[in-house]
Parts: sequence; structure tokens; C-alpha cells
Amino acid sequence: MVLTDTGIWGVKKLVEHDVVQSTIGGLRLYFRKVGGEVLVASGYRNPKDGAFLPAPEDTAKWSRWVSRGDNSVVDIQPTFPDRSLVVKPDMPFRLVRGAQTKIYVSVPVWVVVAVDGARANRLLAVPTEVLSNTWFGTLREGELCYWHSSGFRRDASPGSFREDRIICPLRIYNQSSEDFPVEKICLRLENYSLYYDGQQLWSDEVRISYKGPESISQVKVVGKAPDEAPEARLLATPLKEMKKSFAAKTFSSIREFSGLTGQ
Amino acid sequence: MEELGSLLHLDALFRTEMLLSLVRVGVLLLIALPLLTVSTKWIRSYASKKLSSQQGMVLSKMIYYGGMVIILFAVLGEFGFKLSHLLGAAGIIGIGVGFASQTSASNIISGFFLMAEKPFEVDDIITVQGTTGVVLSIDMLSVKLRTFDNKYIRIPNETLIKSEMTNITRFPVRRVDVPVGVAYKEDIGKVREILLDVAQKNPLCLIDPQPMVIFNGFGSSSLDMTLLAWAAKADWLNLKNSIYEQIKVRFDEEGIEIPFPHVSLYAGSVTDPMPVRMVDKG
Repeated sequence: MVLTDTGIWGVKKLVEHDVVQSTIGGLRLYFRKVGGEVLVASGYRNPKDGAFLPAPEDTAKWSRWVSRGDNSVVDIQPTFPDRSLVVKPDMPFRLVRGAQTKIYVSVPVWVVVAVDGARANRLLAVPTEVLSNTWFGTLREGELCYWHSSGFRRDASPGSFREDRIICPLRIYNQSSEDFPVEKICLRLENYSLYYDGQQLWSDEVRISYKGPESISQVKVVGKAPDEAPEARLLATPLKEMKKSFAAKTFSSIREFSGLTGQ
Repeated sequence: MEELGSLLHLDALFRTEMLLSLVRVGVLLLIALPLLTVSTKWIRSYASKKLSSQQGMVLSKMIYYGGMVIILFAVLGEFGFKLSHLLGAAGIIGIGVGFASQTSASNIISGFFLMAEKPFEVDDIITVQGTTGVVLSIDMLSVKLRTFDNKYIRIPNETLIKSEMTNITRFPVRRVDVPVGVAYKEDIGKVREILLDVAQKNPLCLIDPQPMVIFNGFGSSSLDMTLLAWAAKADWLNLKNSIYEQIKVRFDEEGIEIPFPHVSLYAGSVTDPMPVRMVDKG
């Protein structure tokens, strides 16, 4: 399933030598067609004045692609970031033992550029926001993730999110014997599906059972459109198909990283 | 002519059995050696993908040396040498060779210990006795390194067992320590905030573990601090290169002075001029 001409997503027609631009959140993409080749450049919004730079004139800042077909259209589709994402609430909270909560995390979308309307002719994937790197794990092992300081929302009212964000509903259950401080969560985006309800991008609901600091959390990806957008269309299946639930280290506390006394 | 033939034992040379043996050995070597080489390379490539480069290398060497021994015994068997005779001679030769090759034997045994202990693997970056390089292979007698300026270094296994060795790439994250000195007139708290901001805005710098600033003390010319920033090991060098430049740019924007080493002389009073006395008018 692909999005076609729905605002920022879909197909853009290319005309020889003309520059076509497309803006998704803080990212602007520029396209040119020259002699059957497709040239792509990108730029980000200046955080100080909110303006974009014009299309670069220096040819070194463009990437050139020679593909099959006549490359007369480019297709812009959303996708998840290419790594797991660690999110931290603006205000950490504690989940009492036995309690559960539902929160909504907004994930910056990545943009896939393909030619001639087929994902198989994918050229590149570009983030709409440059995210910092972070490490999820210990100093001896772990994984490289992106970092996003997202507000954890408790509601998903229409219009409260942005079109360049994917909303991930998380339901967290505290099945441990003590209160659980929610400080950081690692979202393994490769296991999520992507949905679109006409205005907003969604992932499927993820249910996380916290079993204590020394145990591994049980994660279940529901595998269908979330309750908040039941009519949303499936855009992409997970990059990595997993069993319905899997065990994964999802939470970590700040005290694991001392930076000085290192393990 | 007959005497010549019998003198040269030509009849023995052209005996059918000897010719057949030679042919068999030739065919064996023609088939077995290329087959062994190809299969060793394939196993190394396959095992390196499925396991690790280190395990692929060990497996391929085991198969190569094992195959060569089998081929050698097969060739010797063709010429009529019996294995039991060889083993008998090997015992006597072994004693002599043992005395002569103590160093080589030590290197071989050290090699086994290195493989068992695994202080490093192929493709790791290690530093031994001041030499830093990428591990190319761990062989029976020595370890081969490629330095960053593309030199080939051979280090005997015995040296590695006896010396302190640093494995730079053992763990997935590394810390960059950036020493910073600022003028005494600067506000330590403001400098700390600026350094942490520079680190957090560098996309290569990890948010966790958190960057940190340590105040080292009151130096002779400056207030001495160290910025500790973490990066994935693949990004370590790029972070180190970029963060120094970003600190300098930011300090210039904020008007933070980086002093050069200097010494102030006082003749007992800050305001009085330094007294000068002529010793020899001539």
C-alpha cells in the first residue's frame, strides 16, 4: 500500500531541468531530472529563523541516480527510522506496582524516495529531523540507537500531533513487585507496522510488561491498526517479523551509566 | 650399452610400479592441492559470515594443515614409506629439534593460549609495546598487524603473552577526553554549560552515557577542565576531530579566552616597575 498525492506524501512529477521541492516537517527535498537521471538534494529548516535555504547550486551537494525506466516521477513515502529509538519523558513518572498506563510517543518520520512509483526502485531514506546517537545497554554491550526527547502524551486527540510524526501507542504494565520509575524507553521500530488514517501516521499498539529491573520485559506488538485509528490503512509491515511477543530489554535506568566508574 | 643401462639402474627407474606411483602422486597432488586451497578459502569466507573473522580463520587453518598432513601421508604411502617407521624416527628427531627450536615451540604454545584466552580477535585494533594496528591474523608462531600507515608488523606470540596488550576495540563504546584550559577570568559554570551544550549538539556524541565536565584544578596559566564525551567505537575518531573545532568556534562566539602559557614576574609589588641595575659599564 502506498500513499498517493495526500498532501506531503505521494507522487511528484519531474520535468526536465526544473527543480521540484517537497517539504516534510523540518526537511526539504529537492529533485531535478537531467537527461534521464534523477538528482536529489536535501536541507533542514534553520532553527533560528525557521527558513529553508534554496536548492543548492553546487552540483556536489546533489546525489545522482541512474535507475531503470524514464524516472519521470518520484514517490515520497513515510517510514520508520533505521534504528531503535530511545525516548525519555519530559517529566519522568513512577508507575505503581500492578498498575498500567497508556502513553503516546511521537517518532520523527523518515522519508523514502523512490522512482517510477515502486518501492523496489528506492533511492534513499532521509530523516525529517537529525537525531542524536545514544547507547542503550551497558558499557560492555548494547546497541546504538537514536535519541528523542519526546513528550509522552496521555491523550491522542485529533490535531494534537504533526504530519511528520508517527504516533506510537504504548501500553505499559507494571508486573513487578515494586514501583517502576519510567525514565527511558527503547522502541524497537523494526518490529512495528506503519498505518495512515488520512491525516496522521500511526504504528500498531505495543504492550510492554515490566517485570523488574533484573528481568527482561515482555513486548507484544498487536499487529493491527490502533484503537485510536481503527480505519487506518496499512502502509508497511515490520522490517523484522517477530513472534507476537518477545522478550527484550526495553527500560533502563540512568544509574547504569556513570561515565567515570565504568564497568 | 647394456653395461651403461645396468650401471644407471635404468631398469629400476622405468619399472612399471614406480611409474604408476609417480603418476598416482601427480594426479593426487593435481587434484588435492587445488581442492584443498579452494575449500579452505570457501570455508573461511562462509565461517566468517556465519561466525566471526577470528573463527573463520582458525577453522580454515585447521582444515588446511589437516589436509596437508593427509596429503603428505598419502604421498609417502605411495612411495612405500610406512607410518610406523616415520613415528619411530620422529621420536628421535623430535628430541633434537626440540632443543633447537625452543623459541618456536614457545611461540606455538603461546599461540594456543592466545586462541583459548581470546584477548583479541581478527579485525580488532590492539596496541602492543607502542605499536598499534589492526589484527590481520593469529597464526601458529605470530600475530600479524596492519598499522594505520599501512605497515605490516609481525609480533611473536610469546611477546604477546609476556607483554601488556591493549585492545582498543573490545567494547562497543569509547570515551573521548578533551582537555580544555580557559583564562582565570572566565566563569567556570558558564564554561561547563557551553562544553556540555557543544557535546550534546554533536550528533556523534552519545546522549547516554552522558557527557561530563570535570574540573581538574587551578593550572599555572589556566583553569583546567576535561570534557568527557562518549561515542560508538566507529565514530570515535570523527567525534574527536569534530569536537575540538566546535569548542573553539563556540568559545570564540561566547568570548571565552583560551590562554597561552605565560608567567608573570613581580618584583615584590604588582605596581612598581621591575628594578634594573647596571653591573659593568664597560
